[in-house]
Amino acid sequence: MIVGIDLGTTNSAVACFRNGAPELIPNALGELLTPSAVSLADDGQLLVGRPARDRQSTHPAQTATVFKRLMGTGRTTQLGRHTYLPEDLSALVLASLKRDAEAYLGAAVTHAVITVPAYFNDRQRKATRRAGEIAGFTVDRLINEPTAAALAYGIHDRQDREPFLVFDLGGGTFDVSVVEVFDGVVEVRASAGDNRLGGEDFNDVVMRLARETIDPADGLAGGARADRFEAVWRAAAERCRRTLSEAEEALFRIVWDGKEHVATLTAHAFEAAAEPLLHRLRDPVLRSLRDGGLRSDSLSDIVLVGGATRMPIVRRAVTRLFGRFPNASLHPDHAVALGAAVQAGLKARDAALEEVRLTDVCPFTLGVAAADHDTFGNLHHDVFVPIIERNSVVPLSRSHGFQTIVDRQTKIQFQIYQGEARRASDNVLLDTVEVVVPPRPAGEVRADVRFSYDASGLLEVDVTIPITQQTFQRVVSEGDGDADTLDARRSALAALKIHPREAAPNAAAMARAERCYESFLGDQRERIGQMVMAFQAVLDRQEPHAIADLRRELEAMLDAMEGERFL
Amino acid sequence: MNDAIWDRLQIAATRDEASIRRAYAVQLKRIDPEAEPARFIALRHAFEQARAFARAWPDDDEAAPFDASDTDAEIAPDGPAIATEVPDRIPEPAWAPAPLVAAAPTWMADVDAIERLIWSDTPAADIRDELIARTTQILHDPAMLSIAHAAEIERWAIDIAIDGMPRSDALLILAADHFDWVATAERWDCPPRIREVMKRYWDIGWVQSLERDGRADERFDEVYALALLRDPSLPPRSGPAAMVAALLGVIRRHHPTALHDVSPAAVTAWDAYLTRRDARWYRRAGRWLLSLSPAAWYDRRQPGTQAILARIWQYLVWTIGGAAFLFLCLVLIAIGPIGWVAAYNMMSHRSGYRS
Ligand SMILES: Nc1ncnc2c1ncn2[C@@H]1O[C@H](COP(=O)(O)OP(=O)(O)OP(=O)(O)O)[C@@H](O)[C@H]1O
Ligand SMILES: [Mg+2]
Repeated sequence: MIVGIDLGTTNSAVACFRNGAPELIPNALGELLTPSAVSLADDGQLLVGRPARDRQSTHPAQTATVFKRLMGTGRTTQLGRHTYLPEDLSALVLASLKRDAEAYLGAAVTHAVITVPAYFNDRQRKATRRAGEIAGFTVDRLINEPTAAALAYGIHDRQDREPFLVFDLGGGTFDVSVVEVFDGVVEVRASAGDNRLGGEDFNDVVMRLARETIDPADGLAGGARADRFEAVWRAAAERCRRTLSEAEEALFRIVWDGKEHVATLTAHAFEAAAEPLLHRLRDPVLRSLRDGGLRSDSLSDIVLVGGATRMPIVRRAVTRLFGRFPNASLHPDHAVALGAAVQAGLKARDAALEEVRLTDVCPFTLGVAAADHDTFGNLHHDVFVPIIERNSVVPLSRSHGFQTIVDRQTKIQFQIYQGEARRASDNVLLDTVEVVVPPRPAGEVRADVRFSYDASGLLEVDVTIPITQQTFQRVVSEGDGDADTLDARRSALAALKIHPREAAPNAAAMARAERCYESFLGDQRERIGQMVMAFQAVLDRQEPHAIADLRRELEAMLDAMEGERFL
Repeated sequence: MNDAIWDRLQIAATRDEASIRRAYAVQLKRIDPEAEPARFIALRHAFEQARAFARAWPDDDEAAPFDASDTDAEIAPDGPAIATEVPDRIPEPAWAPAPLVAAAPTWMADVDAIERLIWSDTPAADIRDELIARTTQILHDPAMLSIAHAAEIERWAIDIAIDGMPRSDALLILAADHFDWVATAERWDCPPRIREVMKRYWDIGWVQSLERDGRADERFDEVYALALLRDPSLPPRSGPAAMVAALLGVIRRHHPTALHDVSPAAVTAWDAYLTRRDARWYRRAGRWLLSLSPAAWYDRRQPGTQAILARIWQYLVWTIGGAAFLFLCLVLIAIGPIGWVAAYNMMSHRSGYRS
């Protein structure tokens, strides 16, 4: 069985394709979304998902979130004695989803289609693929998130569709795709995005606004507890921002050092402060339309995906951009995972999808650095020469000829870049290929460079020297992804103690109670404290029925105190 | 048209895009693009070629084939042809037109007024303030939030910035900052029209920097030469000729649009003077000497690469030549007194002290 996984910045989800339709798989808590969070519990076990998210504000040093933003950077996070690469943390989330899927489907799940933001670059994609492999999956395919959403949207009624635009603003990334559906072919025409724009950035805005009222002098945070302070603020900002999605005004409330601090934020002030972020939504939209060869008024629909599009200020911005209302009929949190499951079904050649095909594009330009003469005869180095232009349909293969520039040149070095800047070194360097050429006068030796790009984004480069009939071939490096290190990291991860799945609801209730304990005062805090003690007692006595009863009671109490809860 | 393309799509040659698409879809379902990439690439190639064929005008050779996938529809280099083309291909959706754009047509008056200003006879300095005010209004109009409208205005601004140069400079600078053309120009796929506009943008900056640095010593030559080129009443003369020649070279080579910022009469006068100056016999001789240098020879084979060698040769020619000249002078000066002493000695020998 192949599953489709949406590995998000804030939430992840897993789905499978069964009985002719994609279907979301619930986790151990019975929920369809699993927060992308990992936390080290006091007993040395690793918690993944909601309990980990709840521990963010109580145990920030032992908890990791938003690690998707670090993918491809090699920056490590320390939890307890271990350090983790971002792909290790993602692998823990993926492994947890894998267990959920196996429990739900009652069979081993070994293959997966994983989504990545369309605007993830090559390094970030490779890191994601590695994460899947460390988690024990064979990653059949990486699929772009807006493409997945478009697939879910495009095939649900099997109708032809004029070009429409998928607008995906998630927790950490923003993607736009222009897609068209004809005769069962879902064709992505162009994608663009900003891989550092999402709900998290809007939280920063809320925090900044609240700080102006509550703590203008920045005096509350006490040195060693800075990360705790940050986590408490962030949690409060998230809650406040979600309230602003429903109301014109919201309370930003934190409890710090036994004291309550509140600030009132209006939707208006929030919108004004978020203006620079909203402005950044424009450019990717514009670029995807240009590359797709479309005018904004010829789009048949604007489909919203991603949790952050629930914010009214984002919807208003979209309405202004296009001069009409967007379509919010797709479930913003589920669409991507469902689309990934459809892709998994395609991959497994599911009979229900026989008449469906998907073609995607590569959203970046790929090329090499070269030297070039200008009209005055000056030689310029570091000029980016595109070989595969962005938004070409993949898989594809393109070649370009180059010549030597100096007499008796004996080698040519091709630096392979991904990006859009005219100066090559401003782009992302993927690899370097060096070829040996016979020494001849300048310009007499030719080298043909061929780039072949496959549907998952794997790039193969070959360079042919016609004079010598020689060919040099190179699969653009996988970084530290070779089999040995991957195996080593897989076993290192397997050796970690993961909190048992059956006990997940208890861990989740406990983590939540602890968080609430910290964020309430007086009577309420006391009541939570007593309840937690009672719950701990039944947990220690291991009485399944009593545990379940008390947990339900505890959750009902917290629901009443906290109002709507969110992940 | 190549038959292989139609064979691959398994249809007869046609200009009907819908049937080409249908044929492509049928063929696509017979293959698995991921398992057989080579077959997919061939099919896709055939599809794209066929579509380009269908989109080309059947009988009119002058009109270029239009391929939306590789043309810039929003900032089209040559606007109107494409603006009329796109709606033909993609039926208008049923959506109502953008209410924001329709409700606030104040920008239209500004657009008209700006066009009138640019093509009027009023001196450039006098239209500047109004130009800035109206451009700012257009750029900050609420309608600009709609990307369709913004794209329209951007296209208009590019056209007027290029056609109205240099009278439209104030508009150009405002628009370049608003649409962030600086960033666009850093991209490899910057549309040629924007590159053209940005050349002017940077040249304005260069001229302004000369004006600003008026008193800085290291740029004195350039600033002085610029002043001469701006004032047609000052006749060319040999003193500053080298400076003016250098500045004209820099302008023509690196800042061509800065020619708008100097007086054409002065440039003509200086060009004539410099040509005459270059024709003098000692200048020709000097150039001939330079052309003998190995660097100049190398330079002819590899244009532009050996400027430093040429400098070294020039330096050598002048220092060795200068040294030889000095030596000659010294010899002459030295021979003078020595001769006198010798003559005197001889005389005195002849007359003798032998008494
Ligand atoms: N009702 C709401 N109001 C405001 N924001 C919301 C609401 N619901 C969800 N969000 C925001 O949506 C974001 C999460 O969206 P989503 O789950 O689509 O992201 P993701 O898939 O995890 O991230 P990404 O796709 O960027 O990797 C969070 O930042 C959250 O604050
Ligand atoms: Mg997402």
